[in-house]
Amino acid sequence: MIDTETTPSTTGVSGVHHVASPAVAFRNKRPSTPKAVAAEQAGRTGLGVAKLDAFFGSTHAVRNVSLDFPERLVTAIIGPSGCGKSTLLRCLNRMHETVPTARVKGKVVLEGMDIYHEGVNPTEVRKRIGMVFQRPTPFPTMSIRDNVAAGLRVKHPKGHHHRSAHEVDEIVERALHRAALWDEVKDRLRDAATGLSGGQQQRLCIARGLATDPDVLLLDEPTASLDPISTQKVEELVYELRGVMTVIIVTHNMQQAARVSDRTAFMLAGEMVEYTATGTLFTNPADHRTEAYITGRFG
Amino acid sequence: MSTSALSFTARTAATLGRRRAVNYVMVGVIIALTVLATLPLIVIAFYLLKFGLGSVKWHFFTNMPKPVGESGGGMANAILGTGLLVGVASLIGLPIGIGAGLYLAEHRGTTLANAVRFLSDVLNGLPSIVMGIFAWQFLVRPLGHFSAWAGGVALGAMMIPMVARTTEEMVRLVPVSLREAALALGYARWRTSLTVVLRTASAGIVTGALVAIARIAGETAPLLFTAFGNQFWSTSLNQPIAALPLQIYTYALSPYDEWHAQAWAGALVLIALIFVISLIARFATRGQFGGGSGD
Repeated sequence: MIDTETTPSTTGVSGVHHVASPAVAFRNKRPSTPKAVAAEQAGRTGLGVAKLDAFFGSTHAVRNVSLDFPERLVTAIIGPSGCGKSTLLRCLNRMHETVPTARVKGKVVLEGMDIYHEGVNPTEVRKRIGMVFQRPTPFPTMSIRDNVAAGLRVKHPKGHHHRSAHEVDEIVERALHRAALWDEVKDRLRDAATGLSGGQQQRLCIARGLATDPDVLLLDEPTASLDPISTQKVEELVYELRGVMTVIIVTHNMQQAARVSDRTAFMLAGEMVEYTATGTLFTNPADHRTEAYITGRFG
Repeated sequence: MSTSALSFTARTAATLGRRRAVNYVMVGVIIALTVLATLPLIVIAFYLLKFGLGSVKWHFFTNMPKPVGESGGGMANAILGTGLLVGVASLIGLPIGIGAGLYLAEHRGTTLANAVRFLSDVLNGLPSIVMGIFAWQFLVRPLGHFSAWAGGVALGAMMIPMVARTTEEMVRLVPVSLREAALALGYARWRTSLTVVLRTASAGIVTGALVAIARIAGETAPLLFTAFGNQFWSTSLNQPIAALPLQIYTYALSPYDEWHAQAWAGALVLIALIFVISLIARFATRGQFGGGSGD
């Protein structure tokens, strides 16, 4: 059983092992896909970050962060509130700059191309790097089907031709299957998306992000507003995306990071403190600040 | 609040009684004022029905005005004229107003947006006869004749600030998270504004547009020296055209009893029209997104 109830503050010092064990149990349940294994062995970079600084006005939210997110694996970013983990995530698809007074310095490299290079259109970047937010954001004027298909309406770098309604239906069905929502909505695809429950809405948003088949999927605390059952569904879905696309998930929940990710980065006050294999970070952290955080002594 | 239990028990029945009495009196005063506030509308409706209903026959809607002394006259031309004038005004006022409102909401804080917002508030407060003078100066005088165009432009100019400000308010209610969700899907900014933001706010914008239409439909002053009025059937936008408010004005000033009755009937029809538009405006927002759920 997956333990979603335990909070970091109750784990105590001995909780280091307690935190790690569910992850092991979760993983043993599922065989890794051959593709994931191959990617893991190849150790290729899905998204590279080099000397990244991000600002809100005069606030220095992300400080000189460099790290490589492995291709087709899941990377978690953890840290206390306000440590800059969401800001870092929003820098990865150029969403950070949509906020007034926000600035970014440094490089984010996708397939050898710096997305902050002069002349790169942020809209094109976002088509290849999808994002799901903390709160579900279905478009209230659109049906369930149209929500999932929303990203298909814009010209996509991978799509060479205009899609017929039938093709769109197929893509929508596949995305909903992948987001484990198909069975619940297949009979009411034309209904308003706002009629779904919070957990369903969030899986709908994930399906919307998957429909365009991005190279990278960014998840910004995707289960923060969900109940435990919905959380479990979303976590299983994230886990299954291994081998399909590069996934980066920001989370407050350390157990969640342990359960779903291959690598984990710990951030504190805008800096990257430690970045290593998830098992190592939770059982044998190198930095004393990481240990203090995961054992619940602060944050 | 650290009132002790003792001070509650110490309240005498007399104190409580006095408080209740004051409460009843004040609630009574508030109710009386509320009734007073709606009284003008009730009185107007009463008089319109009393003097106007008798003249609202089928031929009122289908017949042309008849000379004094002949019975069976109507205001068909004025009803058509008001429809055409409102149509022209909407064609001018809605696109400009909605576009300006979208700009005000999406670029809030910029110098231009602040200036436009201030000026549109000033424009909103401008006496409507000034709008008539404006249209007369720029359309009637250069062209040398009154026209429906000029009247429509005057009314359209009145609509712009009303529509712009409601659009701005409604667009502001759209949560930032929806905008971000669209941007994150690779929507360009213009596409986000048009397909997500405007569509989400559309119910509220429709309401604002209908309220603006209801307001200008009854305007007389801007039409006095633009549309001018016309005793004959005219569908040409280049000619002077009749309008319900103008016809009412002319008939009410005349010395003839038949025309007075017609003026009452016209006023009743006009009020009923505005009432219906307002009702539609209310139902347009019902059950839809457009208010309250700001993030």
